[in-house]
Amino acid sequence: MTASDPAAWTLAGVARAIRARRLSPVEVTRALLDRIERFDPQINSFITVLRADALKAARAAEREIVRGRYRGPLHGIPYAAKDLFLTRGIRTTCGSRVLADFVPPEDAAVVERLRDAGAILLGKLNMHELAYGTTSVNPHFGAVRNPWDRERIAGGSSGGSAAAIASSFALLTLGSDTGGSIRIPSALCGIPGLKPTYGLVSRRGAYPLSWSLDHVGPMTRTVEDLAIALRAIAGHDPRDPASARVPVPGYARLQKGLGGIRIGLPRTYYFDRLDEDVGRAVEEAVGELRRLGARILDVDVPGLGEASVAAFVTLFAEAAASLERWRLERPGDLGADVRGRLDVGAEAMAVEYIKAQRVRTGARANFRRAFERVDALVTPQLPIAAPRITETEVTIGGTTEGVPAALTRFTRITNLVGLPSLSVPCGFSASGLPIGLQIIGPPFGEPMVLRIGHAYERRAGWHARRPPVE
Amino acid sequence: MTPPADVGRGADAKPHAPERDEAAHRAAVRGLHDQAARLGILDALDAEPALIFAPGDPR
Repeated sequence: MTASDPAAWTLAGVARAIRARRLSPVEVTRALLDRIERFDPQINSFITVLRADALKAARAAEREIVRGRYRGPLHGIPYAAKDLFLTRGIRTTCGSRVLADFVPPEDAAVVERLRDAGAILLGKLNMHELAYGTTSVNPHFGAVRNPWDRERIAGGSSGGSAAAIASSFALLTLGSDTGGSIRIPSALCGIPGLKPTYGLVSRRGAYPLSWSLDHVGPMTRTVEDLAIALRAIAGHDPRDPASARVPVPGYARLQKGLGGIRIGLPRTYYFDRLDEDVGRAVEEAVGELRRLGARILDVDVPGLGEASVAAFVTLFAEAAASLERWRLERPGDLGADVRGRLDVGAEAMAVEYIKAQRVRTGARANFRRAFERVDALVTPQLPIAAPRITETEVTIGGTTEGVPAALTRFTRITNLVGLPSLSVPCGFSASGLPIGLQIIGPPFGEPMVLRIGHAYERRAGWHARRPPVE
Repeated sequence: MTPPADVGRGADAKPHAPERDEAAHRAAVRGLHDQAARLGILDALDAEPALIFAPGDPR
């Protein structure tokens, strides 16, 4: 591993090299900053690049490591954060004009934790405005481009976070996921991304969209890298009222294989209206899981259509409440799509919201029953590969639906029920666009979800493919 | 923590919103209510209260 080859790096590999003093944090940070400077103008994944601050932090990490004070696998590792995570003294725009000059006085909890672990913040990442959308076509900061085809969306809302990893600009990025905002761009950009269990990772200092649906999680080059990052950012935080008091396991026991593991396929709903390439890639991935020793079972999770509606109603109502101030005081400064969604959500009725919460309770119970039979569920992550930036609708099997509706169809339900959901690359479309597989676990089932994802990734090898950024 | 109200009010800020497309808005609101209708009709005897964070929920 050399400082001249960032496209071949993984977080785990660079961490080993830093620990063994074969690479210095300064070399790694400088190489990534140079790569961002050279290639990001074509991708537009960053809103703010912190070159001087990052190099200063890298030199400090290097000094500590040389003196024998190695903190762990994130020490000296450069990462970047979606621009909705508060960063003390560093502008945090949330991708919006309404926060264009906002300089927070404090850090988000995950930023604090990564700094304590010795990680180095390279910059703040572009996103869908206020995290309220699935494309990252941002009217204020420009569209994030998909590194595999720059005429296509990177997905959202954590589009910059996914595009930056796919482009090898960082070894770890932070995203947030309210209806699929980590998994959608991860799948469209061909990288692994994890929405953890609700309450596992603190949301303190992550600009809210929908309190009962918002999750924070990592995006990286490999599933092993996700496990390392999750270990650092997970854990109870009394400043997030939804934070769970659960022990944080190591997550790194990924080498156990899949012998005897029961994987369920919820064929109803999650396999409806798929693009042909997606269906083929997912069936091939299921075959690989079987060859790895997993038992594949068809399972029925009832009420998924209603759960999907409940997620939609909950999001619209909660977002209209949490972002009400901007809708009322600064509507002209909002992008048309976000303003439109907020205006619609403001007309959601209390009775609709209440019924959605009843459906949510039922959906949780239905998933709980499914997990009595299986250790994890596997589904397509998305029904389609990346649409063009100009496309607003897609037609699948003769049915036309809006791009946001299609992209969230298989993601938003696990926001409603809070279950851990991993997106892992599982192939490419005929036109060379990445396709993702979703692995869903029971509450706090991250060790199992990561174990399955890691075993599949090692076998399939899709993670080794890189887009032609140079 | 709340950002100050004048954050982002640069010289090019637009204090007044352009008129929204009322027909499109009404259609979108109808879409929301049509979707919400799929949540069913409750009967009081059948409807135990639901909490966003249910007690004893492992999360």
